[in-house]
Amino acid sequence: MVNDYYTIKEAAKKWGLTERWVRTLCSQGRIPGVVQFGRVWAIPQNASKPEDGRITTGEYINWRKKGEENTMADTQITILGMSGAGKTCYLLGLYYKMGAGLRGYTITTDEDTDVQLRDRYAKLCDVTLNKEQRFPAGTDNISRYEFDLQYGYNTIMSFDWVDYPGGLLDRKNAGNLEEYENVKNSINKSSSLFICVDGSLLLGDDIDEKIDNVRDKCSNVINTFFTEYFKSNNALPPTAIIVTKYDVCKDDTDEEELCEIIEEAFSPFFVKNNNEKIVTIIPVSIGTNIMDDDCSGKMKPLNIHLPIFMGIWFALSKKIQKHVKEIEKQAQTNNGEVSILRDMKAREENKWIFKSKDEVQKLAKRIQDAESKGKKQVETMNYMLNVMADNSDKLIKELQKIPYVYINGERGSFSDIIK
Amino acid sequence: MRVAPIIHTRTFSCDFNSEFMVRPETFMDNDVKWVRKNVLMATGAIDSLNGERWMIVDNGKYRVAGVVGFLKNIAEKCNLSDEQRKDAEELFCDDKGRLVYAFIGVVIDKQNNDDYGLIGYDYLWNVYTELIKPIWKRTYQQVITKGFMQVEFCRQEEGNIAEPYKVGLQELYETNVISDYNLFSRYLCDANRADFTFCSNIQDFNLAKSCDFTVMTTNQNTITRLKRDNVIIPSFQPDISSRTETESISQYPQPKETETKKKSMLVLIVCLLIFVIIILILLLLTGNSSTAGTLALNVMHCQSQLALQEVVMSMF
Repeated sequence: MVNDYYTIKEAAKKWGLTERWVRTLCSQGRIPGVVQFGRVWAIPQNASKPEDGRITTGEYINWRKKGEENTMADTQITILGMSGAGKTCYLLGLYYKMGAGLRGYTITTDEDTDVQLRDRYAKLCDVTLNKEQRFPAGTDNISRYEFDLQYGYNTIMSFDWVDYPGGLLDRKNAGNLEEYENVKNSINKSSSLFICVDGSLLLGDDIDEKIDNVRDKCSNVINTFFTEYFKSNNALPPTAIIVTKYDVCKDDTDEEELCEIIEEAFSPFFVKNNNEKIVTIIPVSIGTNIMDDDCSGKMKPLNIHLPIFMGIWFALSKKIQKHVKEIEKQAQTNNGEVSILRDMKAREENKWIFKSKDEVQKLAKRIQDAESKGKKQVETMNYMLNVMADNSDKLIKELQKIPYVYINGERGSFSDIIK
Repeated sequence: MRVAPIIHTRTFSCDFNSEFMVRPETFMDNDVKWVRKNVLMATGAIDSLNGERWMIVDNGKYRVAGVVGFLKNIAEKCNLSDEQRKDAEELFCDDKGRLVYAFIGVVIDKQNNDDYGLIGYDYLWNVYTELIKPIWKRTYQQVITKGFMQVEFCRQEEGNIAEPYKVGLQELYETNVISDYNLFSRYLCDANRADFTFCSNIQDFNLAKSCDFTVMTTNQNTITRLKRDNVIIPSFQPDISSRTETESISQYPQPKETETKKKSMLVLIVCLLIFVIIILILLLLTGNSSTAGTLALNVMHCQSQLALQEVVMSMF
């Protein structure tokens, strides 16, 4: 951390509070001058210990739930796919692989969610269980997780992972309007969208049949959400089309044929026009033959981390752009403050009668303070910008492994996006 | 007891219906929304569910009671013949080979009902098979609405129930297959109770933390943690005292500035008065009193105008 700033841990130690409580104070804006980067908070060393505003008596129904509505994640990634496409298994595989660490990267979450996800993954791995018992049930509940992507235990970015039940997408306006609006809003504010295409739809020799399968069971529902997204944002989000269960279909559908099918079934994504579109096709698998009835399959995740790295990279790039603007704005504000003080000083100095030397000195001191404060703020922001840029560079190495990248309908590589 | 069936389930190839697969014909949108909210909570973290959950929700107008669980497990708890058991197997998994779970229950119309009896696995399973089996393989599903009818249920004596742990307004009990059903029985048959929600066997901490059933059964660890974390943070009053020190550096405090202006004005007036007095004395010393008086007045007038201008200038 930068000089003059404490970490949560250091501040907690200094004030004799728990780290959790200091984090809460930061998120509530109760510590003046606190700066957030991802989930990391930088607390000014001169900040005084805030008063304890808690009330430990009284009865407030639903208080726990209310607190949960405010998530602190930097970005949101939404995964869309029809029921049974493998969204939950993909998440379990991703969490397991990334939880253990992959080339220095890890994904972490809170202890309870960690236990829950590991438990479910353990079930998925247990070959002594029946197939029906191993795989997660199709649910009607929206699953929302908050993760941190870390590199060498430093948080690169926190993200919300939202998994909608396939049936909810299919129902559209039937049923609860509020629920449907929530889904739509959540999709619209996601920095990246993942579409899960069930690899078992790509079995057989007939390519036309496979295209029809993907259209019927996926793209005809999903495409409408992208239309809505385009209407709201006037752009399309970076999108990863994840072909799950690729181990099941790879003998029938090679990667070139896979691209052909996806290009046809999701044709609006691959039209060459002025609408900025970045789409990737990523075949993934959590293991080989794990769907077999004899349960002989072993977990061996393939390409599972690439979509999430892509989502994070785009969110990070957006954040960097925003941060650069913030630095410029901050510098302007600081200059404004200093120039006001200079005017005041000049006015005081120009008085021909009752000129106060004391006041002039005070103003000179304030100018000096404002200048050094502004400089420090810009330094901090520049430091964070460098950290973000560094994190972004780290991700690029892995992202170049994404096999199929389309930029405005043209096939390219991830290096083209970076350029 | 006057009841109508309510079922939240997926079928072989169709997903859950957000307005319930089966529900009473008298249900309005708000009733659907209210029950759905509670059913979604009761079906949360379903993959970690061990056994079943019993749920009751009561809003004064309706009381909805039923069971949440995997169909395979529910069927195992029923007294089924071999043939019935074989038939039931068809309902255990969906077209993707995943286990199917459901909420199967009854809605009691409280305004037209006086007696409360206890429902069990067999009755609920029969309701499910009777209504869902005929539509199980359909690829398009619509809501089935059913009317209320009189059904006789026996009233079972409830066993011993331990004292609850209180966390805020919630009552928490330790979960156990037997005591969960006893509690369900107690709340279902209590005609005098209204506006409450009950759910048993919520073992997942995240789910227990986020759901707001007024009565809940869970494991001891969760009870301990919920009690420990029961620190309420209501609307927070910003702590101004801790902010002023730091914020004063960057802001230009208006009151201080006004004070300085007031001071300089006072000094100016005092100086003026001294100046006038000196002039008056000087003029008096010269002996020409009338000229001295006029001059003094003119000087005073000029000086006060000047002072006023200065004050105005310094103020803006």
